[in-house]
Amino acid sequence: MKLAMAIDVSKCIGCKACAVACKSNNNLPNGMWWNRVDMNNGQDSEAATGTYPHDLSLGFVPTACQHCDKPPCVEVCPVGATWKEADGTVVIDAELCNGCELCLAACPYNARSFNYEEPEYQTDFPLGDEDAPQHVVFTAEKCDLCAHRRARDAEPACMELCLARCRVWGDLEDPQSKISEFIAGKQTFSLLEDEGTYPSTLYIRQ
Amino acid sequence: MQERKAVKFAPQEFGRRSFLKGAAATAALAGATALVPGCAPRESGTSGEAPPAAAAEQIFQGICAGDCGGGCGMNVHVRDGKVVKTSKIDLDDPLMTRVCQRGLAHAQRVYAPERIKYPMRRAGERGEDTWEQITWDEAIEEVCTHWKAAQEAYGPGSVAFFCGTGNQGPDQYYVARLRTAMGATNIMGSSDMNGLYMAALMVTRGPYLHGSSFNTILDSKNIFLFSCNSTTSNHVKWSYVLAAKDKGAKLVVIDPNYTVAASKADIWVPLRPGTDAALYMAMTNVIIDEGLADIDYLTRGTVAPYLVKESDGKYLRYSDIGLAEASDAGAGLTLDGAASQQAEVDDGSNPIVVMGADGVHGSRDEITEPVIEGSFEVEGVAVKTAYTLLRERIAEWTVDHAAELCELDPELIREVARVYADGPTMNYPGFGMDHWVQGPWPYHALFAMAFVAGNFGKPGASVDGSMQANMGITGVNVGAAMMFEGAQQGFTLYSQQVGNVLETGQWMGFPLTIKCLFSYMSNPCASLPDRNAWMKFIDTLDHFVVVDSVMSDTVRMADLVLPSPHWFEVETFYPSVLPTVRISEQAIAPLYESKSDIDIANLLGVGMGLADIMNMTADDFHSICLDNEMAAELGLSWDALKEEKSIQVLPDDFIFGENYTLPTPTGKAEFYVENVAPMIPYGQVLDERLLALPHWEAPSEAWPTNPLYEKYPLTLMTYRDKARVNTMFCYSPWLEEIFPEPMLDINPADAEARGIANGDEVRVLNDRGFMVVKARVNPAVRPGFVETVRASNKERYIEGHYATLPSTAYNDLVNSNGFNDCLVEVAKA
Repeated sequence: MKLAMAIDVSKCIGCKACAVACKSNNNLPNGMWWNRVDMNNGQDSEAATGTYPHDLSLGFVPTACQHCDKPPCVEVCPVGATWKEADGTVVIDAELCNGCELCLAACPYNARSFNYEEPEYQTDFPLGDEDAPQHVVFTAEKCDLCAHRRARDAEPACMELCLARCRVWGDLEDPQSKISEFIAGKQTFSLLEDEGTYPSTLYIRQ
Repeated sequence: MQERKAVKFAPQEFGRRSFLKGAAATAALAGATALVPGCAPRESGTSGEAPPAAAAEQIFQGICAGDCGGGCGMNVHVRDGKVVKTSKIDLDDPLMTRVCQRGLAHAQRVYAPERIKYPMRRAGERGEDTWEQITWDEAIEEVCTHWKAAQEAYGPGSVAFFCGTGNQGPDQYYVARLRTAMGATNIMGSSDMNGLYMAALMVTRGPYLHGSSFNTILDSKNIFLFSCNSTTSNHVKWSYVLAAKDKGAKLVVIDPNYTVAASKADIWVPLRPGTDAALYMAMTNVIIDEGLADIDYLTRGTVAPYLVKESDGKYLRYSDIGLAEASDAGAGLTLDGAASQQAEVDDGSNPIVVMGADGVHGSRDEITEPVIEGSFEVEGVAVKTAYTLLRERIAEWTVDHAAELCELDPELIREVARVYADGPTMNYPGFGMDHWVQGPWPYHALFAMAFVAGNFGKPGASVDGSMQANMGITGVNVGAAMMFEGAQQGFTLYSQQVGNVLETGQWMGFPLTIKCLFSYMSNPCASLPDRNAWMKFIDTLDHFVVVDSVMSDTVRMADLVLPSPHWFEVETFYPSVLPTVRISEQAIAPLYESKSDIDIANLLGVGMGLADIMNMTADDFHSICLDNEMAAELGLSWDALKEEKSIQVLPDDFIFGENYTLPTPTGKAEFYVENVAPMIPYGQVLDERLLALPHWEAPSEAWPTNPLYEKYPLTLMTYRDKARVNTMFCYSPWLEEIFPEPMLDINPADAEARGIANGDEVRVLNDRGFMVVKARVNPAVRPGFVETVRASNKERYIEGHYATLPSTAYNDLVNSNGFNDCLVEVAKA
């Protein structure tokens, strides 16, 4: 089994509904985002590059943990608090995490967050899924492809509703899976392929 | 696909006649015993995701009644009496399933720290934002004391109501019942109406509502987005555009700026803002000249063959040639928000004359194949066909002429005209071209082009985008509570006209002094143009009451504030853009001391001595809204809705205007508007001959011939951002974390000329006002134009306010705000 995410960036409109669904359902603390939407042209916010009206470029790259096959975060963890599961996801055990932050530095995708202080929330009661993960001070955390939701056969939160219908997840090793069908015949690429991390997140640029 | 059934066009039933029915229903219900509003929670998991196994979680159907008009239904998850999250509801048509980033952040909006918890009285100066908590009894007494004193001294119109678009559900119309019971003045903040009204003149001659089922776009060969960035403003429907593209449809985006929609387009037409009408007329000329016009549609589906008298521009009717008695068929109309009054439809007793190819004239029934072009003399009366008049009108807009004005490549105009004509093509207009003082005219030209090319009233060729409005209003009579014995329609005026009333002390010749203002479901101090002028009006008031659920610029200017609940805290229903009417369930009780709009209206009504009128429960009101002949035919009623949660009122394959028939006075698509009538009459005189056909008019302010252009050479346009809808959703910390504050997008060339770098604080100013925001140097913006989001509350600006910049100018046909028709200069702050 190899759980993965495929995103057709030619369709993405940068609405960030995936990011907000992730934030909400995982009850992420203030300021923390496991799932973000970057610009493909390096801009901080939604601006084009190029010269009006020709050669303009504007596009989005939804980004979260890439669940790499060769995860550099796992390699550097001195206490074995993060590893690759048999299903292909990269996970963290907050109880084992010693807060050294080496994994944050190792991840070329900036996909890991850290609780530098006791996590704070906008409401004094937990939002999101009742079984949302705990957020523990002095530990690293990130997208785990919503392990808590998958455990009850629900989809990852970012799949709540992609308005551009450009995000698909599933088992890459199952040729009948939605993701296998989605990428069939399409050319895919990964982020920072030079890093040799072999991400499980595949992007399509039609 | 379900079996096709005949559907009456709803708005026909939604006009004056159904109002009268509603009035009867109201009278019958007025004394009815109150029913306790129910809110049966569904067990978890009936729709959408499977919840945690052991969850003590309840799920309700809530409707986001927001200003975007999307009306998305969503699961509202409640744990321990608290809204903890929202999630999508899977619909039968997966493309229709919808919830957006704002909708997913609702839990935060429910518990926003900016929620207003209890009635408050101003403690300091107006706008100082210091408050004293008071009881509801004290609040109601204070309001009514002011209102009674004002009405006694200055007449009923001295109390004015202002309702915005802060709640797109029906409950605002119950507050309007209070207004009509008091004979109070109705001030409307008119935006987005230019196109809707112009189209109403041409295809419905009454209501603003038209458009086919969403899924007919899957039959489109081309999709034309006209000044519409549907990826932001209409993005819950973008799925349909993508699905159509996947099926091979070509996407053409006509927009001055390189929007996300433009970035997805097969062809992007970067026209000069304010020139849209000229482009469409030139495209129409290409379509006609190259033999691409749809003669069958023109002949059978439009007014093309009708003979128009040269003497007065009216149709030649039998009565003109002694064959019938004159009648008032086709008379003008006026529209007043919900109270749309329809023109009398031709009853056939005095038909319009058409000409046969053999030179024999007669009615359309007699002449089966009328000619659509030509000048004739009929019984001594000089006439031309409406189509000939159209061709004459648009003749000046050759491709070269338009190319020069629109600053486009002539070949590009020809190319997109050919693509457009090779239909079926979906017309997908937005509000970009609407928000100009001369905003109606591009829509006239656009619809005329659609009719000429036959891209109307057919599968795959209809109207989508922001004009595909409120299909689910079928069978819903939201005005039912506004018609009752003793109802007084007071003055209706637009926010732009308030200054004039202040100056003259009159409205249409009647004395009018506004002393008290009641604002609900709105934030006029942040959303209306020329904020400084509006604030001067607020200064003149004796008493200003604002109802809202969160703090806003307007709340901060109030003398007295009444807290209303979040949408998920009351039970109501939603007539939406979807082909369904849906219940919005009460997920939790109103928080803090907030009271529903209906309860507030009743409390105020009782305080005003109107207890015999303002006595309906929410259940009573919702029942009469759904108690009419058409609703009954559709199986729609309040009880049924409570039971079924969602009732489909239009079939999946509904095509508006199919079979060459429209609910206009002629029954046809009217590119020739015989009797142009203003949206609200206030004594203005319209140039009927000019407005009968498409034309282009230069923007009123933002155009180089304006002497102000030298001082203010940039045109400030606005867009809708992804975090907010106007000022709505301002207080959502999550959205604030990932979406930027208001900025000014400026082309690198314009930035460089002013020494502005990306991220610099800039002052945007004109004679009306200013704002200071950060600059975002962005080549997506057309040189000579700058862009910002419309709008935010004041604390989001470094200094000043966007709303101080645009003017209140409007055209005499529609009175809709022309936000984009706004000259400014930009300098480093």
